[in-house]
Amino acid sequence: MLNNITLGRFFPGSSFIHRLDPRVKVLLMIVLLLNIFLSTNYLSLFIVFFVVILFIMLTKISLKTYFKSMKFILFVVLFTGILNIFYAKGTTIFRLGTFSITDEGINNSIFVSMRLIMLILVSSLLTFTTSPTNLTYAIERLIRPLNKFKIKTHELAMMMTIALRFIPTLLEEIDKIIDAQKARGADMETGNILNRIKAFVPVLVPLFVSSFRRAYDLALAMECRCYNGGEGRTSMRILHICRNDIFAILVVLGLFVLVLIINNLFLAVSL
Amino acid sequence: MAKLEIKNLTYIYSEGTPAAKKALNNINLRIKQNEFIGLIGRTGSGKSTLAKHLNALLKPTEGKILLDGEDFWHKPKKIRNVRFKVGMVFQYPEHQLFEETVYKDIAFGPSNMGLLEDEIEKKIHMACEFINLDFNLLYKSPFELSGGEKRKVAIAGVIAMDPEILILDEPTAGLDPKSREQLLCQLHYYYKSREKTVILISHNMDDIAKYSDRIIVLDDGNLIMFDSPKRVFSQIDLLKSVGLEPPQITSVMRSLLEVVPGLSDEILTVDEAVEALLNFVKNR
Ligand SMILES: Nc1ncnc2c1ncn2[C@@H]1O[C@H](COP(=O)(O)OP(=O)(O)O)[C@@H](O)[C@H]1O
Ligand SMILES: [Mg+2]
Repeated sequence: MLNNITLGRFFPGSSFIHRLDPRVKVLLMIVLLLNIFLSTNYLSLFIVFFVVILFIMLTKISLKTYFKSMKFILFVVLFTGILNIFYAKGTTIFRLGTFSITDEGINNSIFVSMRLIMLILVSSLLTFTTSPTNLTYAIERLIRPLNKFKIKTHELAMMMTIALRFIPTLLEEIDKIIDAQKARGADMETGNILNRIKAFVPVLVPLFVSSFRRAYDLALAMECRCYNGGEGRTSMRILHICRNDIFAILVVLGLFVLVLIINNLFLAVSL
Repeated sequence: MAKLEIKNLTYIYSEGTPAAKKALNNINLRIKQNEFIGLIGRTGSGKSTLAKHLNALLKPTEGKILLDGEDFWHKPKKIRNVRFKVGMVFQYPEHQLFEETVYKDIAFGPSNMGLLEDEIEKKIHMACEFINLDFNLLYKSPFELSGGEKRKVAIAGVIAMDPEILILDEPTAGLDPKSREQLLCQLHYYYKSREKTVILISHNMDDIAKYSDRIIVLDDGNLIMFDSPKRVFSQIDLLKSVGLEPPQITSVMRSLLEVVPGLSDEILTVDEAVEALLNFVKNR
């Protein structure tokens, strides 16, 4: 049942986007997100949207998968969109009792919804095409400058890797335990809230027990292999920036500049 | 009439995503009341997936499953009734224990069925006797027990529901030889004495050959064979092509047959082999 969640999952592949250097990918996604929030007019918003869709096509993962990842958040999008329609000043175009719908309200709601949708698309773009190890590797590399401030970046990244590594395992474990209890007649689907919360005790207890067992095993395994933190540790994989990466950087930076220019033009026009 | 009937069952995991995986492909089976069924196939062949369907934990992508002629998913709201009739012991069932005491844990299933306190107690005693569990352990915490004892408690938790069909997914994996033999004997007894249907998933061909009335062979989601042990284990080439082997004693007897003609080539268990060899020696 938890298998249908695509948000945050990794789909292995060998597309252009899959092959980008993970450090570059993380940085590019941050710049893309910046672009989304800098776009204050329809023209730049749609240009950014177009580029995001272009990148999505390049991943060779079906659009359906991306939309599945939005299923859970779609109602947040709808909710904020609808709220924004009613919640603004501007010229009234439509009146409904005490509520009035203004042109600015409609603009706001379109912007907010588009931004939320793109936000999810861009984060899916990153997680769908980057394996958890590569992702934490990139983040470890990017936060390394914080070492200067006595922050143990290696330990942080290791914790993140372990956490990410165990999310699927835990989901699988939850699935298994739920199945086992259901097979013993546990009723998880019906009844009031209190009953449903109670029904989760038979799932949570075994889950905790097995998580502690796993943590203990993992710690033991790491110790057996002489793990002792970040000091003097080298990496097995050495990442290189290649031509594809430079091309992607140019596209996203170009987009960034374009959005800034368009924003300025619109500002000049409206003045 | 068949007790359990599987019609054109197909199942696809994560349908509609790039990770979609067809785990079962158009399976048709009819299982009778009071049969001991062995379910074999290499890892990933779909055994556990099939077992979960029989317990209504997975809903077929296509096809249906009938219990006593009635479609499982005809009334989805009543699906728990199916689970009361078809008991399932998962791989490593000891990982599902959660109560403070062994007694309460075994009582979980029967009390979900809505049984009364004294009935539950009877069922628990029946289950403990069945699985040969020391009554003194009943008031201990399940987490204090040894691995083998935990396994017994977990199996007792399903037996206590007194299911008409009992499915066990590799119940003997990781048990010591004596516990394994005991468990299998008890399962056989459950099937014989109480006219139940047992479906046993195992990688141990010797056990499967010894106890099964009929054997289901799966490979990559396809039903390869569903027949008596003698016929299944006589198709050695087919078995090897799906990653399986006949029981060791069968291979031994076949090798012997090459030097000592006149022995039967249909021997599946050690007892049969002993008898055949004794006969051979006497008649010489
Ligand atoms: N939850 C799941 N999600 C996706 N694929 C699965 C899942 N469970 C099993 N599979 C796949 O289905 C196939 C059959 O698995 P399974 O029924 O567990 O086989 P077996 O029990 O015979 O080893 C395997 O290829 C496995 O990878
Ligand atoms: Mg299995």
